[in-house]
Amino acid sequence: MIFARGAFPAGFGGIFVEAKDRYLAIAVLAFGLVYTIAAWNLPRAPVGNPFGPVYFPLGLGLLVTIIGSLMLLQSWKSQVKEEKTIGKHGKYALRIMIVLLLCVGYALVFHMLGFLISTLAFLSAFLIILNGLKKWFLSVSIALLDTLGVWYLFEKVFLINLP
Amino acid sequence: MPTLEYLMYGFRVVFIPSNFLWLTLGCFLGTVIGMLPGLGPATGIALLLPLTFVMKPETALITMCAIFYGAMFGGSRSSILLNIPGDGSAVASCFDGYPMTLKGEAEAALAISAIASFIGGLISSVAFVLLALPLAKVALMFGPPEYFALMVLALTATASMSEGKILKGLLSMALGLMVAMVGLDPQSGVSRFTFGNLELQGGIDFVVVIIGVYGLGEVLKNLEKMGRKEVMQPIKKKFGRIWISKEQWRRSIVPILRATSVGFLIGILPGAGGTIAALMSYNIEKSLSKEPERFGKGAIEGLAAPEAANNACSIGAILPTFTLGIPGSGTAAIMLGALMIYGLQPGPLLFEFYPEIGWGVVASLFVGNVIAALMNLPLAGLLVRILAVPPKILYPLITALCFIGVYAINLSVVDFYLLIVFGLLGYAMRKFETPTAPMILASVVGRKFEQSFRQSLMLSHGDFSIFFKSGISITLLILAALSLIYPIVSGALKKRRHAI
Repeated sequence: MIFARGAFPAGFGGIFVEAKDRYLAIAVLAFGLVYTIAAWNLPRAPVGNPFGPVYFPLGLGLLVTIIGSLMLLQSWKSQVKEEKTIGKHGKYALRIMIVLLLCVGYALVFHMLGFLISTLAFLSAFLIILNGLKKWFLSVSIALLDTLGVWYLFEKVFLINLP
Repeated sequence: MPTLEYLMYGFRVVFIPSNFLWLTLGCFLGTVIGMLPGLGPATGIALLLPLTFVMKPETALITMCAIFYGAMFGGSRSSILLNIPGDGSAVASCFDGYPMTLKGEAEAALAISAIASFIGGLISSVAFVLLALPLAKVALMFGPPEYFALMVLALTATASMSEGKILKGLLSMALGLMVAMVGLDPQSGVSRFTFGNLELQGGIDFVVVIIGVYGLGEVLKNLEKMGRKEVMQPIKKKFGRIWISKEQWRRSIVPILRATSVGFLIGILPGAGGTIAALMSYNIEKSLSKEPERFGKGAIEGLAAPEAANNACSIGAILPTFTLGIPGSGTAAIMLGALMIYGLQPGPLLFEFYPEIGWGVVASLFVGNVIAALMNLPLAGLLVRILAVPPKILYPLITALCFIGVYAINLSVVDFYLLIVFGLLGYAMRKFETPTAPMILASVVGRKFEQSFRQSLMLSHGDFSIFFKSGISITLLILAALSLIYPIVSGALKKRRHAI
């Protein structure tokens, strides 16, 4: 192929997995095994070939198990260069956790509070987290505008009922 | 010549006011989405997908195509002006586009990128018209075993080519197929992996997977970058005349034509998307050039080639999607999903029974390219200001759009939790540098893939040799095997060369 080396950005380089992926390999292997067992225990089809619904899941489970083993094998062969990067990750990991919790919270209250209130609250909170408390007024107004806009679009233009 | 008549019919469909309006809007949205760093055409189409449910199918598909190549036009704006690629396929545009800006040639850079994109798009559209019907006729020869083999090839090629990491590509593919397994098995009624949840019996809607991985996952990934003190270069806002000189045109035209054919062919191949097309054509130009040392320092042909290639590639990718039902890239997979939502079968019948869709889309490629070029040439300076919208406001709004979009599909909150799960998965996959395109492709075609496998076995009463009985399926399976073996062999060779 005509891919000249060096023209690719960093992420494109290796064809094989890198050493830091050992944990990923173990997780993939475990998942593959669990899935294979679950696939084997699927109910057999009452009509036709009893193994009909089992072939594919079983094959997939085995495939993932093999992929996991190969990844593990490769991570063992290559010299592991452990890098301590936890401190660097800490700050944004927290932010992503908060955002995820917000999303789950949104899903929980969506039916209870209805679209308008829950979306307004969700957006305001999200915007304030990113932009800081000082700009709360801007955040809330953007959230309000957006919520009303979406609501109008769905209820009146697309005729999709929101709770 | 009937093809020409069909095409004229297609043009009439495109110029229906509502279609034309959406086409223009799609080009605009695509350009904007392509420009914003971190958001690519896949995200744009995924977010728009729920909105298109209220449109007529031809309008919806025309809009999606417009977003697709609009994003190819727009993706290079931030590459050229800021050295930040708007999406993967605009990476190669940074190599020479940004140096041109530094040299004070931003106007010429913006102009050549729009011109190259336009030429690449236009020539590919012609090729599309010429190839659509013959390719669709080939599909008529396909029975279940051949379809099975074709999908094996599409999936393995996507897994092995998407980003060069073959094991992770295969893993991503397997995950997508696993998603497709969830729910009631349509042939036997056995419920699989539903964990007793009634809502899961209908299966996981691939729209949720797409919006989760490309929408929410993308937002989460971008949250990471935020807050880090980014030194934003001041964006150039005043522009002179956005045009190129005769000398620059002379340098660029041959590379543009070469890159167009490379891009179109790569687009048709399953798996290899715009990123590979752009990088490959850049490398071809560099190796063919008499003065390769100019590359990377603002050579205009180094910008023109990848720009033409990624547009040609986006149109090439649509071709097998409509004619064979095998998408040529992740974004095209989403469009295949849209076709399936409307209950349309891609293939020859699509062009015969629904000419307004088949030929309407084809004609829209021509019209849309003109619109996108017009939008990008004189308005480039204006559009670039959109890059100044702070992401801190943008990403929360996109997140809300993801949720509303998912809700509009089934009016069910269960999909919210699935969205969060897939958003997290999409984020994790990006963290572990696992390509997402194979998973999207697999989750869209997964059910059909399994059906074709089991239908084949039913035809042969359980005899597996049916997959090796016809020349077509043997060839396709051999190609699939080669697509897996090739990267391993070439990787080993590379290692050996390094060792010496």
